[in-house]
Amino acid sequence: MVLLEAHHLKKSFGNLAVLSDINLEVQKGELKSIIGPNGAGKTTLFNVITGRIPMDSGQILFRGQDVSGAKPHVRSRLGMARSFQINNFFPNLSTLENVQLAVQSRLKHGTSSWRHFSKGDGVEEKALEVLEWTGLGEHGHELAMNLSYGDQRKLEIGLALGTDPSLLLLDEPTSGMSRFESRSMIDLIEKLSKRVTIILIEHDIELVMRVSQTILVIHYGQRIAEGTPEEIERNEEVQRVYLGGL
Amino acid sequence: MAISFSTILTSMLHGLILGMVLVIVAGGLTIIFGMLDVLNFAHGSLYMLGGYLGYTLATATGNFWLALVVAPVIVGFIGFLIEFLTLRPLYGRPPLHHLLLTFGLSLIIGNLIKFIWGNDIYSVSPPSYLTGATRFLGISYPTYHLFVLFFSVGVAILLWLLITKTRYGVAVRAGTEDIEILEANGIDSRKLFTAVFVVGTALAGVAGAAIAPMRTVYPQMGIDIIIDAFIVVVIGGLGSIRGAVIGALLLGQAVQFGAVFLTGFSDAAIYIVMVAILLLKPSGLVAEAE
Amino acid sequence: MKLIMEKKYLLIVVVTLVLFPLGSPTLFSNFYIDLLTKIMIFGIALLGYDIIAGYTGLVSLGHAMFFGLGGYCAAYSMKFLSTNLFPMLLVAFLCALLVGLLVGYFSIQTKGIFFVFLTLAFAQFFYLAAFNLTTITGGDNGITLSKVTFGIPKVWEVMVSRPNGFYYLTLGFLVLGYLWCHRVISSPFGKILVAIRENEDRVSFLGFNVRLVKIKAFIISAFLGVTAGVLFATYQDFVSPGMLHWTLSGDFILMSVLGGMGTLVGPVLGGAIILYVGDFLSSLTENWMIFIGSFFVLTILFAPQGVLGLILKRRGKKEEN
Repeated sequence: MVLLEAHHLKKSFGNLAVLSDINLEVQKGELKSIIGPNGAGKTTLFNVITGRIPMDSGQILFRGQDVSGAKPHVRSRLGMARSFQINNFFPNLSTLENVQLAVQSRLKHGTSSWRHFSKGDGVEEKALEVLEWTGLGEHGHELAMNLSYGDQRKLEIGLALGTDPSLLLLDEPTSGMSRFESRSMIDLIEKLSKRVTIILIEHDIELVMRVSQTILVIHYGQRIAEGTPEEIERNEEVQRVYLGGL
Repeated sequence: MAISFSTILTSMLHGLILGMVLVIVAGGLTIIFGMLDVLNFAHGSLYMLGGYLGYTLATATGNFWLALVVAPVIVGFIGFLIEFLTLRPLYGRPPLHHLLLTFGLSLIIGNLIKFIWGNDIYSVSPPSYLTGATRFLGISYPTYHLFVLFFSVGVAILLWLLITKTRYGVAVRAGTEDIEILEANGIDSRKLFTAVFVVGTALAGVAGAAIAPMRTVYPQMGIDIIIDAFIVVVIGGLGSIRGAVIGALLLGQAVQFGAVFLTGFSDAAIYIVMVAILLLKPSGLVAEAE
Repeated sequence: MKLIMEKKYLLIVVVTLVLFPLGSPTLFSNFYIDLLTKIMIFGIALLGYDIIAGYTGLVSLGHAMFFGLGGYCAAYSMKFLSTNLFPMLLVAFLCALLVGLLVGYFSIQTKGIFFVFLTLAFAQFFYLAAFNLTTITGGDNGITLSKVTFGIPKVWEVMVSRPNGFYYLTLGFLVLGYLWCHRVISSPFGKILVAIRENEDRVSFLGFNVRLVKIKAFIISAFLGVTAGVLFATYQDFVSPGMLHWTLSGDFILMSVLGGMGTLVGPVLGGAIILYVGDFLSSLTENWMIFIGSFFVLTILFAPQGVLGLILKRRGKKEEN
């Protein structure tokens, strides 16, 4: 089943065409990675898919629905969640409180100003579950800004995970991490891929090759190649443009 | 009401003078905001201080020109103290704190002025050769008003030269875009911040001193001008000097013609314009230049 | 940092306030009851302001708009309906909803400095309307009100007495207002407000309609603002454009920051401090604002969390030791 479809996405900033006619299709249960040199338009692609910035033209279908003009919160409600390349959580709240916000958004009284949550709603439980899952179980009561960088990157994902998404967009989750920290992130992503459909932007080629079912290579806002990890590895143009011989 | 050429010319001149004074005040506000990202709420009270100082100096020394030169210098010095003692410690903080700080300062300065000078309204006499009226183009217009016009234009040109032709001016313009450029070129940004604040506040001071003979000096001066100045800065585009100039001139005309041709609600029209700009084109009428 | 005051302290304060008038006129004059009434009226307005500015982070310079709106609603209600307080409040709430929606819808599209300006512009618009439309509003002369009554017409209705009647009426509204605000702040909605303040960008990606949430917060602050306005106008028997002027909005900010924003209690405390100290100082010197202004500047420089923030920090340190 096709979870996400994007047709002919175009986006320019002034005279600079950042996305030139991008097409994308993601199957349910898939893990598709998007790779490409810096400035290739990967994050812009995420921004357009999640509704953070409007596209100039094109169409996006999520779970069969046209979300091309929908605001970010609408897309989130439909089941799209995203983590950011630069940490974008709530620094002055505790780790648990951060994730509770995400969990809260899916509950019936999530925006109520009168009816408080009861124990039965299980907000804290669900949030703790997410924390356990991402390996942050011990750090629930720490302020998010006091976490180690590696843990903060995990919180980034935890925040997205808390909304119980059917599609998870991860923007360079290992960005800025040491090789050691990356290891646990790779394990986490592998674990996640069994549970939710993922689109992954990454520069860590080893990670990409290991976890992806399909890889999309972008350069100057255009698709260079798409295929399985083996196909991409053998692709000469990809090697020339990006991989530089693997 | 007979709408004759002379009425229109007189109104336009009124509006032009109002506008030019606003250019000076708003110009100071703009360079401070553009460079320091600080919206100086105290700007109105510093304008008022310039007026009161001008009055005292002129009456004490009998020399109007001395007052016109010394008053802004004193105001600029106060500006230096403000920047050094109260703004500098706050540079890391969220912009709200700066706004609140300058708001508090405006209260202090405003009331300090009332404390020193009392609640009275003072009129300042310009030099005798600037009193009376001048005849031209079929109208008779107060001479001092014309002086204010030329003086303001002069100050504005001086400011423009400073900004565009000198190294410091270039630094200010670069700084309004990106502070790091300055550091990379070896300019001490902190000293530049102070300098910009001093110049900005001195501009407010000179405007207050120059306009004193025209409008008298009164305790509400600061409050009256600050909102107009803010409106100009917003309409023109926060940080854009050119925009501030255009905005001020437009506002001057709008207020003047509004007062003459619309009754009562002319003030409200200005707020409507500001609301419209904020909603439709928050970057202001003049999009920030390259 | 959890900055919601513990229940027991608040209970002590409320009980003290309830018992306070018994001490007059023997222990102290009625003057203090009058002052406390004014403090409590401002407190109601400040609670509303804390919701939008302290918790949601939307600092507006237009809160006086609702205060004055409440006042004028009271005046017109008295003129065309009755002297009874309840219809007045109903009219005021309706206006709060309409104006809050209208102004809120537009203002919420902006942030930071722009939001300050926009709310200022809207508020000044109302001020100018009140000032200039003299036939409707009486202009700068304002409108005089007759004595307001409380109760159910034909069943039990009394004129609100001074000073005690008004004192307890206001106290009642303050307590109710606080209870409501506390409920809002600790609700799921309240958590979203804080999230918006901390990182608005991310909030919409969690699935919340940020615009709707902000407008709702704005309307809540409007309800409290007009309530205070109604009480003030009926207490003074007078409403004038001054109740709408931006300098009053500035006073609200002053009081909130001084007391400590985002705590509900802080701004009320700040209001109490400024009104009491201001009254005391104004008897000494005409220029007491210099001290208030200086105090405010010092607060921004050295204690931006306000007086309450200082108190709580000291308590937090004691607990650690």
